[in-house]
Amino acid sequence: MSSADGQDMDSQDMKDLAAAYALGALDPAEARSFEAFLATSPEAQREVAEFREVATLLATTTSGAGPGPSTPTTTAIPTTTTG
Amino acid sequence: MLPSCGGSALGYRLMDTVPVLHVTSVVRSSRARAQMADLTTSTGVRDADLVAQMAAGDERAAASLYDKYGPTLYAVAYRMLGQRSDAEEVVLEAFAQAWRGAARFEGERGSVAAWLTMMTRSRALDLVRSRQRRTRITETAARENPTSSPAMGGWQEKPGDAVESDERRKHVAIALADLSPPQRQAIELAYFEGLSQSEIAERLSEPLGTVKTRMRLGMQKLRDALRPYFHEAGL
Repeated sequence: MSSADGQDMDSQDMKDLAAAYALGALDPAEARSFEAFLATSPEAQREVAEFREVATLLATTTSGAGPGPSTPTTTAIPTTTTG
Repeated sequence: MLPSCGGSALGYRLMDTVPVLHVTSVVRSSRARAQMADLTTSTGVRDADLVAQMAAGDERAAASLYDKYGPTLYAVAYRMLGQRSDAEEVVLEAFAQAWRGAARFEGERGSVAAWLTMMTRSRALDLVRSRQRRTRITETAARENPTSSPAMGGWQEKPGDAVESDERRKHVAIALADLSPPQRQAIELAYFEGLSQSEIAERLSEPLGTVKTRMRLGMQKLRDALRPYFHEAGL
């Protein structure tokens, strides 16, 4: 419980944190332990990458929610010659 | 200190921080749309190429990414923040960060979409937290009405890939609906409200272990259901 640096957590416990880490849901101390583990574990890195993809897809469920940006464009600057 | 004055802040801020954003309007022109059509059918590999070009100082690559991902990132930010000007600001900051950090992007660590989403969420969470601090001091009377006129939907119509993204959105919605309600709730509280697992446990009066397990199982289920859409560029 109080494994501040994650030393006494086995790697399965650590891997179990990948999903929450990708969601940014770990508490700060836990996130730090996990990051230390992550640096040493390509497998955990893959897991995190996958869960980040999931998180990214979750973003799509919000599309269309809310009003559009008030002014999405700034001054038009022609970057190509005007034909 | 974030301005709460909407669009005007957007323009000047971008000019200051990201040359990228000047180009945005150009990308919206019909000619640029034709270019976009090509980009939106692209794969993650091409997104990564755009990031590499951005790292080399190519503003148009940055503008392409902005045009492609801006709408969804804005939607995420809006859902988290509930305020248009703040959501815009957050997306701009995320792109400014992407512009500055493009050289450090590692494609093998995940897709460009994931990278951009992560930065957007992280900026939005910063803002949520700073707001929470501010709210303790002042009442937020001047909250915008989120249902007010949807000015300018420029971002929201993307004719080129509308069908494709509708399809994907549908699958994500189905996958989410497939989770048990408590699993979905745990994930949504983390994702959209930025709560940590202990905060979620506290809010729901559930044991922390339960929340952890639900979140993990829910995410694993989503991963299995959505794997075909990973790295598929375009949100």
